[in-house]
Amino acid sequence: MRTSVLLRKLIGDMRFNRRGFLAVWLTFAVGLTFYNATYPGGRNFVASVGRFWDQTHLADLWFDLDSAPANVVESVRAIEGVRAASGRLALDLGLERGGSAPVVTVRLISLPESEADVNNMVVVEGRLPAAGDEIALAQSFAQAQGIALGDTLSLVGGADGAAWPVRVAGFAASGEYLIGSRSPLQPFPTLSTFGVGYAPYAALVDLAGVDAETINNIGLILTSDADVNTVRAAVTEVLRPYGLRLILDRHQQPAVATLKANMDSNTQIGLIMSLIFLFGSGAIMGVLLARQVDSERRAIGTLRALGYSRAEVLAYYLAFALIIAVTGVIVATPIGYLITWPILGFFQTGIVGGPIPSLSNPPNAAFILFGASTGLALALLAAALPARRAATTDPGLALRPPTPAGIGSVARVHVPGLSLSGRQAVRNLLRVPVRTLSTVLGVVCGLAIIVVAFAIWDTIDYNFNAYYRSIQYDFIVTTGQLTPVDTLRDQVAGIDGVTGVETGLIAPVTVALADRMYTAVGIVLDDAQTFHSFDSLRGAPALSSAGVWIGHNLARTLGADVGDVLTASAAGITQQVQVVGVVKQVLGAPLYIPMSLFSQWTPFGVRPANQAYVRADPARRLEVQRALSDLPGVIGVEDWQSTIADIQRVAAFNGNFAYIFLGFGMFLTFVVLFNTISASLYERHNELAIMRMQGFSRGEIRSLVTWETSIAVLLGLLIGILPTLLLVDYIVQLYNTDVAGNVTAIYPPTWIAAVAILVLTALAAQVLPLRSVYAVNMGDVSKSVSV
Amino acid sequence: MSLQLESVRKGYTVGSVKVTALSDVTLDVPTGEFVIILGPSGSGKTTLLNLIGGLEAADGGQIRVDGEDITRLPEAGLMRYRRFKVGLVFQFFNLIPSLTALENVALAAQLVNSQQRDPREALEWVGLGDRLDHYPGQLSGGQQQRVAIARALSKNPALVLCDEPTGSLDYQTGRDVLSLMRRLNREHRQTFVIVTHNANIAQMADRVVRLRDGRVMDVTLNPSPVEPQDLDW
Repeated sequence: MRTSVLLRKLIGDMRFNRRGFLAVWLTFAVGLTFYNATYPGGRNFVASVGRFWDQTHLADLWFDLDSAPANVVESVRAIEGVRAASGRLALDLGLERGGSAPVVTVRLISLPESEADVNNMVVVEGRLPAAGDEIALAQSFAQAQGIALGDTLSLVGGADGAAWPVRVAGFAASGEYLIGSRSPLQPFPTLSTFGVGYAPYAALVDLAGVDAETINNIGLILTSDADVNTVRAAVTEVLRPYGLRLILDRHQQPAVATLKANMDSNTQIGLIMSLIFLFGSGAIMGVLLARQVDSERRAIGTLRALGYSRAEVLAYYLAFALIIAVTGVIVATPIGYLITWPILGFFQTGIVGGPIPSLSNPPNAAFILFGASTGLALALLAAALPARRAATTDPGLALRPPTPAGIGSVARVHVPGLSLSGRQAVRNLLRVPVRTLSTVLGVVCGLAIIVVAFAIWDTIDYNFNAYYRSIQYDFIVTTGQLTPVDTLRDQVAGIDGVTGVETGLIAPVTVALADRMYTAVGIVLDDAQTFHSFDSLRGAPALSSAGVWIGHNLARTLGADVGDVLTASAAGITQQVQVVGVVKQVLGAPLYIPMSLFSQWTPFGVRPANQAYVRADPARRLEVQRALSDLPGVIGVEDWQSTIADIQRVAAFNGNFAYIFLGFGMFLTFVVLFNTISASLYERHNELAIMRMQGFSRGEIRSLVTWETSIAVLLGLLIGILPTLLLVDYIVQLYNTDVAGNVTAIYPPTWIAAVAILVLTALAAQVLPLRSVYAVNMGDVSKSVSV
Repeated sequence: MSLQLESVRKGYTVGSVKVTALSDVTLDVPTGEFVIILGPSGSGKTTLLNLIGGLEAADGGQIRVDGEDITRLPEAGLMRYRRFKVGLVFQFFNLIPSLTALENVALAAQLVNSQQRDPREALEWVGLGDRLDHYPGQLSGGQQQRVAIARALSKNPALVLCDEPTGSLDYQTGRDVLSLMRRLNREHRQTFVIVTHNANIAQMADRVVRLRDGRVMDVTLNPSPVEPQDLDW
């Protein structure tokens, strides 16, 4: 009976104060929904990808070679620490779809005779190629290019120079190319210009024009107790005679790096955002219940006088939090789970570019329980203080008329030079410091979330848009063999429609600093080159023979900086080189070497190249691309502008989260300020009514409240700047991998926009509470302040 | 400031019950008079004061202040009326706890720039020249009520309305406060309307209005008011 009466009172109280409780409930439910929508779903995504990698036996180490006999795999397999090894032939060719479609690059990989021990693939539609004139293509690449099963395509750029017609027999997926990226320099899917295909080994041998039993790529899986550096060193020794081009471990492997960066960061952000919301709801729940306890002082005294125990009063107020938390969990958990499906679809499309074969997304009881219990604990914790105050209220005191409110000594501050309204506002804020702190924290959280939203856009723009706008060429031409710089330049420049050409040399370089070692991509460029407009973060602003420049990812991975001396090894040559500059290089971990320095290391000062960067007449791009593909020795022509568009599309995918952050930041700021302002005005109801009685206008009351809100917002902004900067940097750096790393950017307009949004949100939050002050019945108040 | 109330009516709806608070109240108060409205609880005293002060709207009748019918004023007009013409004093003082005595007075005074009195001077009138920087919580009840009176007077209002100004004060402090009011009334020719249920105070008034059940029972003119210091209750 007692319980049911108290329950009726509790429901009545919640209905009476429904706006405040709805705001708390919504904040709690949104936080928990966000958690359930992002974290368990994100973990399921990561687990699904992990299962697929296990299923396809993803390698721990990759070695690219010029060419080697297939039986070298036996020697590698015999090395201690190697559990499995597979060799294969991989060849980058042009793929023509006929008509006016541009030539795209396809990396054709030889199929093993039976299931490979390492880097296997699965057929997701159709069948494996059975003959030399059939291929299987990566499903996401085929979808992006509009290629259907049974289509006939032409491979160009093979050893014999002739077009090789092939029929698409099936669509496949593999763990290593789950992200269809060309190289660690471009660890994003660039499906407009690059894809992966599979063909019988014999066909690859013919296309490559190599001897039978030749391979150029080895993948291996290590035993669980193996040391990756030790195994890499041992395998490197074995493979050195075969023209070792590139060594990758899992961290550098583009699919692993990109998926890890995106999924780890996005799930982490989901967790952070959820916690911010749950803390926010806890803060306003505390404020709301404190206000409830204040307003129910006499009722609490009556309950206690009637014989209700402290425990019952405590339980009564904790029940508010319990109801909010339990109903929040009941609503947020299934909704959050339902939202995981579109989010996972969004991730697949945005990051992978197509479906993941082994994706499963079951409800995860452990994660759901974790979220529910965290939310419940935070809610009860927030309610504990006001509930305790209610329970310890002395009934005798509570039943007497309230004594006029005093203020603590902290609120008696005198700020020289401040107007009377300003002084009043400052002291009002100091009257209930905990509530003001909640307001300020609400602003801090809002600022952090809103600036994170804008900073994501700024960072994407700074790293992906501004950066790629600064690289000004249309095609990258790659040759199979080294060619003298002048020869390659003349060949390319001789093509009609080419308006500019520069050359470069790209090759894997092992760089070491102290005990750290890394296989980077070395890029040799002419000192006077103009096509790459580098953004120097530290050190020398232009290439010179004084040393090398390193990309900021390599600087971070190696712990290197300007002035450090690196040991660089490639093609059997080892040199000590000084870092003279660190440049922004969002994708890849390159080492830029000026040709003037490089030519000092080559016999007779030879200046070789294996890449040409080409500008073309916009009206003749397709024609130029085909002519470049037909040049002798050319193994790839990359449409750089299409690649950039692909990279920017993937980068923009992460920009979508910014909209969510922006909305959440505004919502959180609004509900926190709405509740704290409501509580403050409610508490000063009589005081403000007396001011109205004295002749203060609505505008003057609004001005006073706006002063208070503005000071709290200003405080929040000042206090929030540092944590905001730290949070922005933390979130941006979450996306970092060995081969990808953003430079954090917050453009000045971001701060202006964030402040404007916060101020407008704060002003909007005070509208409803102020309306209740405007609507005050002065007659009623007049009677209530006299007996 | 003169007051004329003519057939003023006011009722409330409490739940589903209609309650008549004032019924057909008619009253004349000349400028500068010290009026006391007497009546038991529920007689309509505070409602009458609220209507005169423009805090509530009458259901019917007219309330003319210096000839202007305030029942016809819009919200903005009532706000200006309260701001420039009325000073209010309550039983529980209702000072702003976050402002000092001087600031509480200045807060009201600054509303009426052209007619304001110096807040320091107002506090000196009420004998609190040495308590300017004290917060309400640091003042006794009597001192707080004196600040409230200074606040009301700092606007230099033509009409001062007081609701049970001695209700929460001890006897001696109550007499001091009444003395102060009477002195200010005489010195500044401001009209004072004081609501109380303490019949003993009535002896100090120029005019005593007795209310019961929302009706004026009688109006008595007092040719020789008693000095507040001679009152006893």
